[in-house]
Amino acid sequence: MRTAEEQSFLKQLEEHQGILHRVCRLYAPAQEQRRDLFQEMVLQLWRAWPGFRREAKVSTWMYQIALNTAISTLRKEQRSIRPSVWTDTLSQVPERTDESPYQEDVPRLYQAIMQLNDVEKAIALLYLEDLSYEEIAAITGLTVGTARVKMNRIREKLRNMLQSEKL
Amino acid sequence: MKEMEPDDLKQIWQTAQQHEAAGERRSVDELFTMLKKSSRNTLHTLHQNVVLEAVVGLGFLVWCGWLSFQQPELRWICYLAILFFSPFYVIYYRNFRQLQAAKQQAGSLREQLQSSLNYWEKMLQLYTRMNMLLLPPFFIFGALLGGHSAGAMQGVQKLLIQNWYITLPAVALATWAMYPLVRWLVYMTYGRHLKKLKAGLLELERHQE
Repeated sequence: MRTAEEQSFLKQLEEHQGILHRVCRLYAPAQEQRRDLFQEMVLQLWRAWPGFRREAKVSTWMYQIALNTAISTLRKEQRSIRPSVWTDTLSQVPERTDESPYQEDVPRLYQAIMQLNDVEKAIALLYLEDLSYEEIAAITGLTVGTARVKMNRIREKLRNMLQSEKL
Repeated sequence: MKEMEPDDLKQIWQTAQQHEAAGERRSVDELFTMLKKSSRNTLHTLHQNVVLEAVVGLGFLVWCGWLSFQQPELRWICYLAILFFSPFYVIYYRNFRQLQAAKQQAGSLREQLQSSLNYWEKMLQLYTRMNMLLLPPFFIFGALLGGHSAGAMQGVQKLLIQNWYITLPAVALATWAMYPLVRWLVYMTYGRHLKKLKAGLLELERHQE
């Protein structure tokens, strides 16, 4: 039997669980790590739920908790990420008929993001999720101007990495 | 590879999300089961270790009390142990409660990281201090009790009075040898992670200036 509080939390969690999956994918490339991190995020969100005052959007609050959990959770060091990790993940997904022109760049983008540090990854994720700079600033605690400058540098870094033959 | 436009990165990201979203979604039942599981977070483990050490310490005090009645010749050592450990545990418990109260989960990523870092630092300090402080008394108590139980001496008092010049340097040597090991173990288990967290926070602070 679920309490009203649990039901209300689960409803929001189910609706926004994509946020957690996307954060997990960036911070925990291996499947087992990803499962553990997802579990940890759910627990941390549940613990923080009573303190959520509904002034901010649920998604903003979720990004904050999920990113903090991802950054502050101790993970086994992965000195080098196998280039095939992301292609492995993608190969598990059934083929789509509407082939995107960007499909071949997906593993390369993930690999490029993996080269960023934890904070840069957080900012890059929020940018790629199409959040406004105001939202990025609210989630990270940076000012709007700083978030914009920082993102410009990250974007440049990512584009260089994507175009580099080393990747 | 073609020259990339700023929006291309978002397009690539969107392509990836369309592919990966389908297989990962969890049902409400699965999510509900997750709420009932316990945390495997390192901070949670550290917290559990601190609680476990406190319980072991309290158990030790109770045992000392019991031993003082059972073996009168050990009474003064037991009293000494109780006297040494009791105030320490009161301070320890107070610090622990303060830390628990200060723990917060709201605010921006930067505020949360700052809060996590403070909590980590204080908890780790408490944990290290506790381990360091416990070493010498445990060595002394272990040496005295070991000597006594082995029947090598007639009484602990005799052992201490006659051989203090051996016991004390031995304890000092053992402690001196153990301190770096304890520090290293704590660093390898938790300290490295704290360093990484600090780097993350510094990164945010640096760009804010």
